[in-house]
Amino acid sequence: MIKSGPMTTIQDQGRMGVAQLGVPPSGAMDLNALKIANRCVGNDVHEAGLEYTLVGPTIEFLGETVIAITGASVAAVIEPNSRKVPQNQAFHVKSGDVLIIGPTLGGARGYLAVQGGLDVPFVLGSRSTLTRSQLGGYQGRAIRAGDKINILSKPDLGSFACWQGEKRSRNTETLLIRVFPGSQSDLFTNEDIQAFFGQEYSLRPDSDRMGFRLAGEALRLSNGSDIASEPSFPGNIQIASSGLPIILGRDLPVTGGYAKIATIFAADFGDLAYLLPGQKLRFIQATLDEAKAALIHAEQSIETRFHNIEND
Amino acid sequence: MLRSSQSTDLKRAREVLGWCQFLEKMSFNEIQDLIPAADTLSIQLKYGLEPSAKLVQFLRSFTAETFPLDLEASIDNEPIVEIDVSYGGGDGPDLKILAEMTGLSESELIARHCSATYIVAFMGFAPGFGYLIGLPKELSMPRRHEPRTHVPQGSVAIGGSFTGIYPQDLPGGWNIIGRTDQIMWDLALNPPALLLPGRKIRFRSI
Repeated sequence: MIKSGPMTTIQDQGRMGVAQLGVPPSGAMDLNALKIANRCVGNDVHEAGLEYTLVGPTIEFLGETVIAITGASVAAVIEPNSRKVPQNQAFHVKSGDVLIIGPTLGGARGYLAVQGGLDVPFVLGSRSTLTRSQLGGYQGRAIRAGDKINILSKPDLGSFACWQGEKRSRNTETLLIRVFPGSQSDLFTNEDIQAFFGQEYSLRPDSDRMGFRLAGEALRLSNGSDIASEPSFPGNIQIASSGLPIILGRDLPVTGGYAKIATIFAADFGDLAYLLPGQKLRFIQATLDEAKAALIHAEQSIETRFHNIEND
Repeated sequence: MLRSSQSTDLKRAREVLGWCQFLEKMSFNEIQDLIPAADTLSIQLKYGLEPSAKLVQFLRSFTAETFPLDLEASIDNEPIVEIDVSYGGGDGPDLKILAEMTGLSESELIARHCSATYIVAFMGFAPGFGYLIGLPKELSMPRRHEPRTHVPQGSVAIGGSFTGIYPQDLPGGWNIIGRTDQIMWDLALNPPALLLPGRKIRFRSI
């Protein structure tokens, strides 16, 4: 690692089954983008890759390999010769090549997969990083300049692929996010519900992988918002005592004492990974059944966009 | 998510834990994770799977209270974990405030905190953080209005009617009354958490 970028961590599809210990799932904020990157280089979708935020890393490759970049559109080049690296497809790099990934122009985050997958120890079943508890990933922390990360060598790889989905480019329109009712929806008055769905919120800069904090008009919360602590999941929308929503991220505290007004469609959660501070979003009222259908539809449409390319 | 309708914190926690332990023993294939909390049990199913008829039947019987549980016996057989705590002063900056609030002396408060046997009702907030029930009523303190950005590892704290120990340096809104050197979270161990739902704890002033 020559330059790491402001927040680059090793992530995979996350930790399951450990919420009982107080451990959140972590994993890529856009799980699908990492899956796509893995598929492009012929990896199992569960392999670990890099998630970078706002500015990508500069990496020197000490061996020949194949990489894929997904997520927000970026300018990425290989030196020497300033070869442009296309996104969403497999790309060969040689020993000594330096990959320079620039600012994430298309949104907040991007992903890099490497043939074989990143080789760091499993912690509680996953290679994902939980920085605030120094768990997993590269020594429990974000990647820094000078770090050396090994790559697993796997004999049986799938074929390389490219993915012809939409590019994540800078979107200045309001992001529409579909939600279904949360477990304490009845705690909120009709006035609160209307205010929640009726306004445009914007993303605060103090947002991170734990939660997307939103700025907007506070809900009145005539019924208060403290509840007995109960389990929380990524995509739950809590209303803090300030009356403003926090969309819980993948590094969330697994139990929480604030009422949940709604939960985001799993199919739409990945879109949040790309929100930049100041960007606007609006919630759309929907149902759990629609959420399930949307998820199936989203996954099918991702699948149909892969094209295998010949290994060479 | 199953919600307990028992009348007290302790009864609710025991009921939730009972459900949790029972479902764990039954090893339902479709269950990915069981997450107990204050008065709810969340049952996370594996992706794409629906609950089996058998599971649904059990869940209905839990909430109909027609299902006898042996939890009382299994909690009573748990060994008690002793935690040594240095109370007050720099280690417990909020003990003074609690004394002012209650009119009790600091040493009386310490004695009462140490007099109870606590049970871990559920985990959450951070790896290894257990919410303990059994706090004497007079010691309950609302969460701080402004959470601290840094609570030192090992801090023993009170939040509402719960007490707990911060397993790492973390931000936190609970009231700190002491500190322990006891390691609460160690990945080299299996399980890595000292506290797990159902464990019994006592505090000892050093």
